[in-house]
Amino acid sequence: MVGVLIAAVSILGAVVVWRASVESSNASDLTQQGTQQLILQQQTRGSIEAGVARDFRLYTQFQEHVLNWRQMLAQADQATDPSLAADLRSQARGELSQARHIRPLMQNFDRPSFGDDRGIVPFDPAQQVQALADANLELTGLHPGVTFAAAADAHDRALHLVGIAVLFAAALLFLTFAQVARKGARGVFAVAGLAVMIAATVLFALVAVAG
Amino acid sequence: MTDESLPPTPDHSLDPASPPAPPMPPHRYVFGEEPDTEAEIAAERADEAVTSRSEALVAILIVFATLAAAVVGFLQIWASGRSDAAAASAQRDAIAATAQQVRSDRWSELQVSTLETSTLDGQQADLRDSQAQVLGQPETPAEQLLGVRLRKLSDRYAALSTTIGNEFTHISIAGRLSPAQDPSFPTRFVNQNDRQPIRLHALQDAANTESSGWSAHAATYTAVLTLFAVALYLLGFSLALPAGLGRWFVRGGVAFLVIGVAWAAIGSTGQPEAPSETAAAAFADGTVDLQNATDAYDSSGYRDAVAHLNRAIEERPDFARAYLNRGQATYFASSPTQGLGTVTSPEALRSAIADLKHAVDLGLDNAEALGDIGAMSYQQALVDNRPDLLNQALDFTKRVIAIDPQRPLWLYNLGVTELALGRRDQAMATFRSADTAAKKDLSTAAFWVTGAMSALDVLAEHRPSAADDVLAAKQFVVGDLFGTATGAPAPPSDLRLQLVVTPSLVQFAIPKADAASIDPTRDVVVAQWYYDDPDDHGFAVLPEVSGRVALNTAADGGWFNVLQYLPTPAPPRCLPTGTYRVEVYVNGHLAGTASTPENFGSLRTVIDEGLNAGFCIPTGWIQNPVSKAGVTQAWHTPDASEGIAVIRATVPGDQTSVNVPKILDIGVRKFAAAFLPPLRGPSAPQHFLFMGLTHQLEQSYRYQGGVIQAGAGYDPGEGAVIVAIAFGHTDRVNVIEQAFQSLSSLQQVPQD
Repeated sequence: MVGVLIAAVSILGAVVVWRASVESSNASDLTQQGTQQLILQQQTRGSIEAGVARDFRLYTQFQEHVLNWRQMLAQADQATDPSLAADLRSQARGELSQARHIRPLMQNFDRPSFGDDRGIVPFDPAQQVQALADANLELTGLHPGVTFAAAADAHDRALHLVGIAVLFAAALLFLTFAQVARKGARGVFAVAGLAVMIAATVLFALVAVAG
Repeated sequence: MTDESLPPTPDHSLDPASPPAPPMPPHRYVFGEEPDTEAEIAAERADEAVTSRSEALVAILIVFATLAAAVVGFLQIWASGRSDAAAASAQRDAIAATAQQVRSDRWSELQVSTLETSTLDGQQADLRDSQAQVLGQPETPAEQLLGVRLRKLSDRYAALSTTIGNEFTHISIAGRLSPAQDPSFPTRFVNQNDRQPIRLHALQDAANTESSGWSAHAATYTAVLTLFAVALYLLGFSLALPAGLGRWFVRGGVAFLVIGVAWAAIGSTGQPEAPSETAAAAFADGTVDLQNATDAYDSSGYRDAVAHLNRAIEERPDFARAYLNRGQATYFASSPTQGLGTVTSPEALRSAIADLKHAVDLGLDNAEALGDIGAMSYQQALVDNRPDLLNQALDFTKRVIAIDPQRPLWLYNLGVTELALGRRDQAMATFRSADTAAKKDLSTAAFWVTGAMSALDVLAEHRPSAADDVLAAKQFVVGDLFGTATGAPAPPSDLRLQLVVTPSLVQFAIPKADAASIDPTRDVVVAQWYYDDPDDHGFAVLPEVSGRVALNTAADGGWFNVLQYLPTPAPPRCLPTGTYRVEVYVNGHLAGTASTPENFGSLRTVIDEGLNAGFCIPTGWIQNPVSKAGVTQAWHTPDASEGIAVIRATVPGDQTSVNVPKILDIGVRKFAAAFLPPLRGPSAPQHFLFMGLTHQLEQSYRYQGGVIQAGAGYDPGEGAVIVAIAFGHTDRVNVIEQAFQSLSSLQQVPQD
């Protein structure tokens, strides 16, 4: 009978150790994967923000020329001095020309409008960053937080399985002693081994079901 | 151990009354023993009766040891897992901190540059208004329209800067962070942007500490497991041994088991702390305060830093970097100097050293901590008259040199410590090494020397018997670093120096009687200016005005050297009340020294980069709302009975000459007409170095009960006229004069 129990415990223990090894390996892989995802996510976000920041610098120049263009035209319309009005219109054309030159250089920013009648060109860099991030398929597939959570779960399961494996090892030891000890000690070992084995088996089942 | 082929042996321990078992056949034996005699067999039976009880006990011990090993094995794996998790968390914090730093740098730079553009556009518009007012030239319609456009652009850029602040940095450039209140703008804003990365680095540091703690626990459990393995081996093997020897094995096993259980119990106590968000946040606040404090005009920033770092340490007592920062903040909170600290209060010194040593004890053995302990131990040795601390200073300074061997600061510190220990030859050799290291970067060499001179002065002050050695060392360092004139006669040693120190400048003069002993075209003249605060903490060199100097011819035929102090430090600042001393070295020999006590009262430094002007006013004066950065600065007492106004106006591009005296007179009269009685004057114009401008002049006016000191000059580089007017009651003329004379250009642009 003890021999049968020893065989059962050995097999169960081996299975538990194998599962623990698999879970531990999973946890390690997931941690690595999460770290790489986090790095890639930060790199991609950084790249997107760098592009928007570059566009923002161009945008400020564009905005200045557009605002000057609109303002000069408005001032020319109101000027009573024909010479001053002509001069303002001439300068306004120059401003518009420069704005047109800058506009195509903005690569991430959807081609900006030429502003309202006050020359205000709307630009929301945060919204631009968000739009580019949403459109980036690689970025949308990166969820380092979820991966790290999965890694933590896998690690916990591995830890539980290792604990159960230790219990099986203890049971195996007790049963081995029960097999070889003299009669007096045999009963103690057998009972202890059986109790530990049952407890470990129940725990293994619980972990397996929960996993 | 038993042989299953043997007949069962009755358990006498359980049933002492049962009859003895039949004798074992004489040819049967156990484990290769020789056949026994009857007597031996009887003895063995008696022994087995005892052994059976022992086996049961051993079995129980084995069960216990195995269970203990199982528990500790689990704990070992659990601790390893926690260690790995904490290490992974540290890694994530490091990645996040790096990304956050890049993001902060990028957007804060854009936020600042956009705001700067807004400010410049606004100032350009204001300057055009000022031009009309100061120069009396009305703006043309085109200029008026340009002003309108500039203001709209200014508003648009300001809105964009605000947008970036709201969306990315989440920090508004206002209040203490604004250009109006931050004398080193955008330093405070940039420092504030660093807060988040600093916080994340603090969390990373805490996670690493936690990981190390769990690793140590895991290592303890591993060692305990080894003990249990040995215990199990001894207990198990005891069953196979004769009773006598077996008992010893059992005792050994029990000993290992008890030690293992006790060790595991002790090792299980005191779990590593999880990273504290509160400590990280307090550390970030304290560190930002510490960074900002170096640019402040008072020590309140250091005190704020100490308060935050106290909180960080309270939350996380093993936070080494918090101790390092608190040590530095504590030191400078009581130090009248900036930069290379050589003087502070004895209490601050002791507290700072304790903090720094604590940081090192916690594992932070970087150059900053080691070097500072060395330097501060040297100071404490002299201040508290504890020569034993000089060996501590020597030890820590040598440790920092071992990891940072070429930094002149550490080498000079080593030299002064050796000198304090009486090792003069060794010290001179070290000073030579320090000079050699300093000369590798001539742009900073003079700065490092000022640190050595200050430290040497501490030695001379607290140990007068070492005065000769100190003088020799100072002369050696100055001569070696700045050089000496070849073929020059013996330099003078008793020059009578006359000093002038104002809040904005320092000047020494050598009277004509002594002038012949120096040839400025040949000799190397070096001035070291020292300052001692009113609390008499001790003299420390002012690096901004110390170094090799040029001598100019004075009106009496002697020599003089004048150096503007106010625009030189970063940020620009006024000299405070205290005692000033100068040491003038000629060809590496101390040619003369003099000191002067100065009481400037409590001063505020006003700087305006756009106006390109800085000046010193009493702290009770307030800013008039008409002030516009880059165009006008007006400050006065609350009742407006005294004050100062500085106005800048650009000259139209088609105008190539400026009548500065006329502009000054118009400006003063317009200014006074608004709120002062009728003016008398002006006095005859005087042509000093008004703000280093061209076409400059100064003149005074009088009104009933008061006086006006006015000056103007032309900045041809930017085509701008600067007019300054200081006014007040006649009995306050010294205050008015002090404010007026402190006016300095922040940047002098060389003119072709």
